[in-house]
Amino acid sequence: MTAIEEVATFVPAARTPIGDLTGPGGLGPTDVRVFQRYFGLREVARDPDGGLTHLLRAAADGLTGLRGREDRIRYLIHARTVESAQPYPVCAVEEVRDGLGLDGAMAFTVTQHACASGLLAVDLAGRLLAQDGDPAARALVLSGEKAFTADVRTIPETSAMGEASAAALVRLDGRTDRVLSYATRTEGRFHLGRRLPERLAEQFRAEYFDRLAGVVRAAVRRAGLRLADLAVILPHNVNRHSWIRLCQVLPFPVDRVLLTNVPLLGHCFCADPFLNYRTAVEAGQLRRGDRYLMASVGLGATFSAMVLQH
Amino acid sequence: MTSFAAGDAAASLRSWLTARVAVYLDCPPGQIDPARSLAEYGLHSVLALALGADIEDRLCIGLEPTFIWDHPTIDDLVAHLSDAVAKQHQP
Repeated sequence: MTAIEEVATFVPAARTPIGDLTGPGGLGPTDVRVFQRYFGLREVARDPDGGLTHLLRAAADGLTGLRGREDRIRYLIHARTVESAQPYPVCAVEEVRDGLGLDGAMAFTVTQHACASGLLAVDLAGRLLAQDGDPAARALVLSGEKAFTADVRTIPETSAMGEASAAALVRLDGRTDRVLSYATRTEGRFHLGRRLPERLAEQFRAEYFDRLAGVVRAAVRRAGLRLADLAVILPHNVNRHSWIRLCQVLPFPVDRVLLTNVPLLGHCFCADPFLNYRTAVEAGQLRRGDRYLMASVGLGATFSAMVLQH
Repeated sequence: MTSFAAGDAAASLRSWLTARVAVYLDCPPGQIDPARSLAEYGLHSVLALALGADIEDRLCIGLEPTFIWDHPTIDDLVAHLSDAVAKQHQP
């Protein structure tokens, strides 16, 4: 059974207030008012002096279980929301691999599930390690991106993007944070993402909560659990309001959804569930044996949920 | 703060709500049917919440963020806002 051995994160010190994200391609005054008042979005994390390689490397450097065991890493996977856009031959994931000395690792990127690609990468890492069958082998899943253009600084009517990163060390089997189930569903008719025509955008909004609730329930069911068995949900940080509504649909108590990072970091692409994992552990919200759920939605549109046991 | 003590206060609120919705939809107020779902007009998500913020500010009350979804027409909003104002302004 796939297990996450360790999670490390990097949260840069700089912040940009939501009100500063206005302008062409950004938020309008009504967006800012609603984001602050109802969505619980206050500011977003920014790493103004660092590039993508720095962002990813900073998270990986926090893994205590990586030092001295670099030769065990078989796969280095960067889970991305946006397809990599760097001038050839620059490649951040390869720079991280070389910088960390992961000479035996196959380095690649997954983007197909957009912001839900982080959970996809954990699932994929587990499958690849299982196929290899080496219990000493590990995969390193990195997440986090630069909000480098107006298009990726905000999601219209939904969220504002933050720059923070996470590194998750994945193993074939283990006692820490075992993956009990994974449910994902892609609705390809929404593949245009933030450029959906209004008719489809309306359908996406109408279906969003039922689709997300569907994968949450499916993941819980496949884990042999009930919703009430979950100690906490570690969500994507798109906004507080959408989680309040989802909790009404499920139903699930909203005070067991970790939303403390929404106003502090914003939606950090694929890294949110892992950033929230660290927050939950450090706050004592996850105890040994607790079952919890990570959830994320990627524009395009993919709905994903993963149940783990701490 | 708008008072609902007078019988015409509800009519006044309905008129004001219709005007606000028309601003968000960028259409004349006369085209807004107070009995029709706001979502059908395309007032969704951020705009619906912005309307909720307008209501909170005008009536000096706090609303659940889902209030607009729970009361999807202007007529429904007026009816329930009367109760909400009375409850929140009780001495």
